Amino acid sequence: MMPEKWVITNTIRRHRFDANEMTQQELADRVGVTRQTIVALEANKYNPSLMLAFRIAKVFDMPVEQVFQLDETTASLL
Amino acid sequence: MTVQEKQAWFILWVIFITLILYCVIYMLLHSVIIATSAFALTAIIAFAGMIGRKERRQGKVVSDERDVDINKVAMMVAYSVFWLVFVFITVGTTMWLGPHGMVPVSIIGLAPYAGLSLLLLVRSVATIVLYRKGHDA
Repeated sequence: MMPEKWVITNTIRRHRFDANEMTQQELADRVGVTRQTIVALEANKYNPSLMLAFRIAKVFDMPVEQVFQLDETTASLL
Repeated sequence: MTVQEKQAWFILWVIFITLILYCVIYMLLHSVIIATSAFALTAIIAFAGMIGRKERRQGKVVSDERDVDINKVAMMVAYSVFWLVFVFITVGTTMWLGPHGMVPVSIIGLAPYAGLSLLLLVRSVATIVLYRKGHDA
């Protein structure tokens, strides 16, 4: 049965703290967005474009799947 | 608050003050033509572009993909509401007044300003709601 809603979550906040406690503004400056967009991303209020997702993952030097995840209830259908 | 949200608040306040001014002038002078001059105040909206100048000069990012997405949705909502109101007024007026009814020319002159104000008002409200819904810091 197909899920009703696909949800993308992320662990940006954790990776930010792991990266020498990088601030939201610093991350925003490095990926070329506003701080408010980073706030919305961390609160799961906004799904980034593919380009932005890859840029954020590149800042943390890890694969994009480690930063962004599809909700578990839907992952099994893939 | 993002630059776009600040601009939306600015436009919202200008439209709000314009509408109040229109009502006050109409109540005092009872003339639609003279009261329509209140919409000259909407020219101030051109200064909304100056919001965020300081950040731009400092080389900061003032608009990103999220702002573009929000602007797109807000414009769609604004045009949809505008179209609904336009159809409601034109069809409703025809049905109410009948095929031989008459509309004062002063009302016709008011139409573009009222339409523009409605468009900007709805767009600003939609922009603010979309930013607030995102719990913008």
